[in-house]
Amino acid sequence: MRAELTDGDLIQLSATQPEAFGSVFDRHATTIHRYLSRRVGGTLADDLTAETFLTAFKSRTAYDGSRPDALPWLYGIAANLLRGHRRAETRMYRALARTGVDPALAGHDDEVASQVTASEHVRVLATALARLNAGERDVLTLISQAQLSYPEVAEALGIPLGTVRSRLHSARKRLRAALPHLAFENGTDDE
Amino acid sequence: MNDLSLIEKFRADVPPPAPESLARARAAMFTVGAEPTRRSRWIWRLAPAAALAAAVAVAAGVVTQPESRPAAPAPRAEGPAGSSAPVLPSNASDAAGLLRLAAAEVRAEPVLRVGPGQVLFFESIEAQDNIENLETKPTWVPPQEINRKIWLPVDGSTAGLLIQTVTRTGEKFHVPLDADGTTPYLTGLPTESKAMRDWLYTVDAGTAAEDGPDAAAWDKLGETLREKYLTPDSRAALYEAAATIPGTILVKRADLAGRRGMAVSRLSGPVRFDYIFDARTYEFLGERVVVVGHLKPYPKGVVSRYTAQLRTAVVDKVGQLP
Repeated sequence: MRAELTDGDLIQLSATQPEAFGSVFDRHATTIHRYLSRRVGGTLADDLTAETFLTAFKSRTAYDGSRPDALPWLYGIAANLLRGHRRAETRMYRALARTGVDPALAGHDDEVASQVTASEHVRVLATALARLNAGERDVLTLISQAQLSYPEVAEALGIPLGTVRSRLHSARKRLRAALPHLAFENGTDDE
Repeated sequence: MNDLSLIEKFRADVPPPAPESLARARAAMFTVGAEPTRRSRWIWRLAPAAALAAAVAVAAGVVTQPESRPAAPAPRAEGPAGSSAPVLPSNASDAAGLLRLAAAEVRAEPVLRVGPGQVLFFESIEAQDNIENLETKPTWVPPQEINRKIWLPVDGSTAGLLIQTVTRTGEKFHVPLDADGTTPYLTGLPTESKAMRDWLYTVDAGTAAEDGPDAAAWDKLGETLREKYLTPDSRAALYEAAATIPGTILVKRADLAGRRGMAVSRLSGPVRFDYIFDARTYEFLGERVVVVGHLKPYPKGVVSRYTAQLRTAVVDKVGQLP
């Protein structure tokens, strides 16, 4: 279905009609939750999704309505909130590396974790992710998991395009160093 | 297979969010988020009325232009010009001038006396528009009027009451209001314009000022006038302080609830926020929000919402009419 109003239109409209922001939530909440879930697990992602949209809603009058797609902005808010949960994030990567069981996939508190043991390269990957700094992890996951373009990542994180490139470059270098036994078809980090 | 595609597949099978978790997050946005932002307190207070109005509009399938409707009852009849109307200085030529004239008028008013256990009664008309079919065919629906009668105990320790009546259908909605310890009878506010200006520019806890301090002060002016009683000295100081807020404009013709008004206004993006005063007596009549710029899907120049203050009185009991 082709919506007539862009995210930018809806957010501008929400200055006088707050309910219009509900449509922005409906369009993107699942996507933002998925991104957060992949970094810190479902339980924390529930809270952070709520916090992301609450923050977005409160600062909606600051949004530039000429930007039609609100996703980069929302990812930026989510990434910023993740900064406060760096320890929880790396703890989960380490647990996965150590035990082969991913706490992030455990679902909600009252559910039993699915005891699928991760393959060796996933465990190595988790170790490498735990060692990246937060800025590198933001860029790496926004590019490869959220599928944002370089300029969108720059916009989301409020950093220059050059910084996006350099962070991605160093992140990939570290990943490749951690996974030397994998034969990479494409070892460059061109766009 | 490269390193980026490994990350792409990493945790690709996370479970989707539980619908009830998303529903909670969505609701929290409007409840928790509504309080601190500019204008949203008004919006939030109006929300039940807006929902009500929308429901009524949908049920009836008919909407009418507020401007073309018969005038809402005015608090008192307008006498012939020159008879009972006070003698006033010459007309205001700018917003600051109008505010100063309004201040001079209100300062001469007697103080409204209240006794222990008494209740303040406010009656107003509120009207909020609506946008229907947001995701398919967004359509602007003009404001629907609701008569609002509210009883607020002066000491704030007992429950109040709000009765909303949909003007067109006569449907009534009773909303009990829990005692929240706050009084609508404000006595501690400054009575001198300089101190009042400082107060107006003091950002309340939890209030974000994204549009800058002037917009926040402009907003606080409206908050202070809505369903609250200020002593004439404080109200005069409030108008005088508002006269010093930069960026205001005078709108010479801004009628409200059948009374001829002039507005002091401030633009915020494509939207203009008007405070309207009677063009002859300089009495505060109410507020209006006008979409003056490009804002989809609004027709340009329409009134998005308005309130008209009808009367303020002291009564002995909640639910009692003056």
